Amino acid sequence: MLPSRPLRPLNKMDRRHYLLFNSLIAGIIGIMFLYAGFFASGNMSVACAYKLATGKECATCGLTRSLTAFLHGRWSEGRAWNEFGLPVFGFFAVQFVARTVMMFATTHLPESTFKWDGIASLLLFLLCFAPLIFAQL
Amino acid sequence: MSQNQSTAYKTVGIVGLVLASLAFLFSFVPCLGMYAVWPGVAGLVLSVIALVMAGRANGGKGIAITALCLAVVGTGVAVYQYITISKGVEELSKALDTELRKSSDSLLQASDVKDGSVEKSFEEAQKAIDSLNNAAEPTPAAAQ
Repeated sequence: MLPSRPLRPLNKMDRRHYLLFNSLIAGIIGIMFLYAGFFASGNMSVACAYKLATGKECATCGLTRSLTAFLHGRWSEGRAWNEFGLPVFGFFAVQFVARTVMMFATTHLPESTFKWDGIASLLLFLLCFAPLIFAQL
Repeated sequence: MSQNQSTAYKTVGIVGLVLASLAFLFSFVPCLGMYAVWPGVAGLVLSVIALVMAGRANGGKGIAITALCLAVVGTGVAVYQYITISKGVEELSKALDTELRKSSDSLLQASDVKDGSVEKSFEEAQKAIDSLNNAAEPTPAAAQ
């Protein structure tokens, strides 16, 4: 049996920078949720170049309306607006919660957090966004 | 103060890394990906600044290099999406133009045919009137 290596905690500077990293991502997602939840209506919605050009809807059309519906708790309406809306909303919700928790738990995190955070986030992104990305191809 | 200066490149690098990560992730999303150019360019600039600052401070360049790679790939994919969409729009507008020209030409042709037939019938009517007039009035030679 291999001897287990003790987990080294993050040093003070790394903690500070990891806190900055997490707060920036949580802030950006928070702003995005605020936009989708309260301001994405009428003239403030994102214009789709594909729809303007062809008149047909692309894979991302209705995504903001879908996020708005999910944020207001209207799950069936959110799924009806865009079929890929739920995994996308799930990705951002998980990231927002995880970043907020890690902002407060930075002092208890081990040094290897950076590496595992990067791998987990990338895998989660692939899992949630792959259907949307490959839908348009 | 000196510690702040020596770690400032890390702060700049992390901000650049966040923007570059966003650009990298969103650039692959269809249609929406072309908007990833803006965080991509911002991440690119910040990561280059962080790289220069890290070089001057003799510090680690890991974060800045990661941010730079992500920003370059993200911006590249976003620009590719933008070019593809604008090319598609151009092709579509050209196809629309040719179709419009074709339909207008066919409309003009149809109106020309109609105009021709009207002119023809007008000429025929004029000829018939002339022949009737000629029949009613005796020729000067016949009168003599």
